[in-house]
Amino acid sequence: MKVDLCGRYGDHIMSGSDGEALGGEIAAALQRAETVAIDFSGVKSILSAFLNPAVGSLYARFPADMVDRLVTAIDATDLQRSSFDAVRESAREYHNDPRVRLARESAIQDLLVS
Amino acid sequence: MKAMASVSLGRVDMDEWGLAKLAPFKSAVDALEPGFHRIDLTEATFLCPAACAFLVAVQKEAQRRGVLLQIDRSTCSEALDRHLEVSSLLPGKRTSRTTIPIEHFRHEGPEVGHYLSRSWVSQLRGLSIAATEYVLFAVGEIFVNAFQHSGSSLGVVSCGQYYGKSNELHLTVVDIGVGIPATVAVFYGRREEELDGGKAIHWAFQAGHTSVPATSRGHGLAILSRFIERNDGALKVYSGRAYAQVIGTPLHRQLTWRFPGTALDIIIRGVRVVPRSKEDLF
Repeated sequence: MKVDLCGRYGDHIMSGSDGEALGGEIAAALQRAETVAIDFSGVKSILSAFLNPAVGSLYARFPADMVDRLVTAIDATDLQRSSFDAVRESAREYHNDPRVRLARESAIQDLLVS
Repeated sequence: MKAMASVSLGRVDMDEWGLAKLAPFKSAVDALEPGFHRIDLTEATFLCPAACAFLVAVQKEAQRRGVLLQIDRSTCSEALDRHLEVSSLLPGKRTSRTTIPIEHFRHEGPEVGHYLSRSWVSQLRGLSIAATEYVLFAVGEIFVNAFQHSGSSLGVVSCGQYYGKSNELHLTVVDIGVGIPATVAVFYGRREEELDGGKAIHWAFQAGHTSVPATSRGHGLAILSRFIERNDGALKVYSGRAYAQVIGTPLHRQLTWRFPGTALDIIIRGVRVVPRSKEDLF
């Protein structure tokens, strides 16, 4: 499966609901063990608000190594690649390491007025 | 018929002392009865971009309850009049290559992308392709976060200014929502007063931190922080009772006053903008 981001969503992609819809499509492809190539060509800006539900959410539903192997980005700029990788890395940690999740959710102690 | 009242605002620099004047200004507007009123800017020799954006946000909010505020142009100095006109706070045909006019967005959507492309990119034609992408990303991430976390149904107001002398591009995004510390407090089931507001702002800018429960979101601001740092820029945040300098040497403190919302000032250095006229070089 190849996803032409620019053709589908235009050159500025920032909608979380579009990301959720794409995340659902990719999840269906992963259930069929298909590879998914996300094509960034033509995209001028893409935000984490889109990438989180489109890609990050997959780590909650599938094994991390499966998502890493089957979902790839093509023709991404350095900035887009960094965003894509950061979303994957953070989602991988959050959904696969309970200590990370616990640490993030218990950081309140550091924020309290001393 | 009720008499037209006037609210006044003095000089507002983009610092703690300047922005402190915005809270009492908003309180004065909140106290106005429905009807037409004027804004007196006699003492406002300068209004920083955050003050201009804030002014628009307050005007929009007041309009919802029938309070119609109009800047009294006769109270503006010549320089301020020009600045407000090119920022689109006052009607007129003057424009500036170095000023990104103020825009207000109620919701996130395609129009935000078009605005970024139209105003930020085409106005600042001197930007390199990489810098352009960086600016779009920076403003976009801030926009989306403000929409999602400000708690303001009014949305966000944005503007920008290029300063030729220091070669700095300032991107300003303002909302008059509950503020970042309050949002973080709600996430943790605490009261805002229990949290160190400055630390809460820093928390919001760290990777993986989000005020949306049970998700792995919260990367946008963290990525933005890294890119600004890499480009020797700065990011200053005033939100609620806190101020934080998020990029570079971490710095934060509690304010003795409360900013009614959030103002972010993103400074990008090293971009070059070709001015349209000598007037644009300031």
